[in-house]
Amino acid sequence: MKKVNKDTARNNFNSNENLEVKKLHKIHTEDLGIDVPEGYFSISKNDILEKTVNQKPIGVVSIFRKKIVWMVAASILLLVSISVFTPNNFLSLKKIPEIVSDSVIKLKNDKLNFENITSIQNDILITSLFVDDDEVEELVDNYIIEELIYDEVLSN
Amino acid sequence: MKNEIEFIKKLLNTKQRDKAFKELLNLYQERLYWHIRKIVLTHEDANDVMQNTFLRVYKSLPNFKQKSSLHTWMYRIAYNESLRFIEKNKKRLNISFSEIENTYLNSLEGDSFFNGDEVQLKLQSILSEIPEKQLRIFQMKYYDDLKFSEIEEILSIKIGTIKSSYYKTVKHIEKNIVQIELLS
Repeated sequence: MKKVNKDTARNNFNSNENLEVKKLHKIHTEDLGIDVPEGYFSISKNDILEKTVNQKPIGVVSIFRKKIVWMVAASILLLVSISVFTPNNFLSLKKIPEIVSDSVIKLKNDKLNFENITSIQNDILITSLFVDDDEVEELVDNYIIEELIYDEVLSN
Repeated sequence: MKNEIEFIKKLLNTKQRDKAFKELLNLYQERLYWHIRKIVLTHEDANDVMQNTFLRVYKSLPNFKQKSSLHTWMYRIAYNESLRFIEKNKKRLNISFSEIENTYLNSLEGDSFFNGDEVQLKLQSILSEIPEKQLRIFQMKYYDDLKFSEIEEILSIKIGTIKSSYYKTVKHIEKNIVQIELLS
C-alpha cells in the first residue's frame, strides 16, 4: 500500500469530514431507494459501544498463582511416585494397604518378570489412588528412617 | 475534530482511545453502513457486517500503522468484512458470486426496507450483470463519493485500471438504460 504524506492525509481527512452524511443519506434513500428502520443508527451505535468501550474487562488469573498450583501438584505426584515405586519400600509392605501390597508381592513372586511389570504398575497406579495421604506420609517417614538413616549408620 | 493526525494520536493513546472511538463511530457509522449495504444488499446482513467492522476497527486500532489514511483504512476493513460475509454465504450455498447477486436481487425486492421504484430496481439489475470488481469500483465512486486514489488504496488496484473500469460501467449503464427507454 502506498505511503500517504501527512499533508495529503490532513487534506483528505478535512475534505472527508466535510462530506455530509445527509448527502450520502439522500443518495442512498432517495436515488438508490434503500432505507433503514427508524432510529436504527442510534440503536446500532449503542450496540457497538456495548461490545467495545463499555465492555468490562474479563478477570485475569495470575500466572504466578497458576504456577504455584502446578508446583504443588507436581510435588504430590513425585512424593507418591517415590513412595510406591522405590524397591526399598518392599521392606515396609506392612504399612501399605492390602490392595497395593498384593500387587507388589505379585511383582516379587514373579521375580521381576518384565512382561508383567506394565500391567502391575497400572494396578499400582490405580490402587495408589486409594491410599490416604497420612499413610503415604508415614510410608515416606519410615523409608527415610529405615533405609536412608540405617544405611548411613551402618556404613559408618 | 481539527485534523486527522491529531485524531489518530487520540485513537492510539490508551487513555483517550474510548472517547475518540465514540467520535469515530459518529463520523463513520452511517457512511460505512451504506458502503456495506450495497455489497451485502439486505439490512439485516448489513447490520451484522457493520457491527463486525467496528469491532475489528476497535481491536485493530493499536496496530494502525498509518500507512494509509484513517478514512481509507476504515473503508478497507468494511469492504473486507463484507467480502468475508459474501464468501461465507457462497461456501454455505455452494453457488457462484453472480448467483448470489441474483439471489440478493430477488431478496431486495422482498426487503421491507427497500423503497426503490422500478427504475432503481432496474439499475440494480443492470449492475448485477457486471463483474464483481467492476461493480465495487462503480459503487465506491458513484454512491460512496470516494476519490479514485482512495479506491486504489482500498482495493489495492492500480488507479488506471480503476478509472477505465469505472467508465466502462458508466457506458454499460447508459447503453442499457437507453434500451429500456426504447422498449417502454
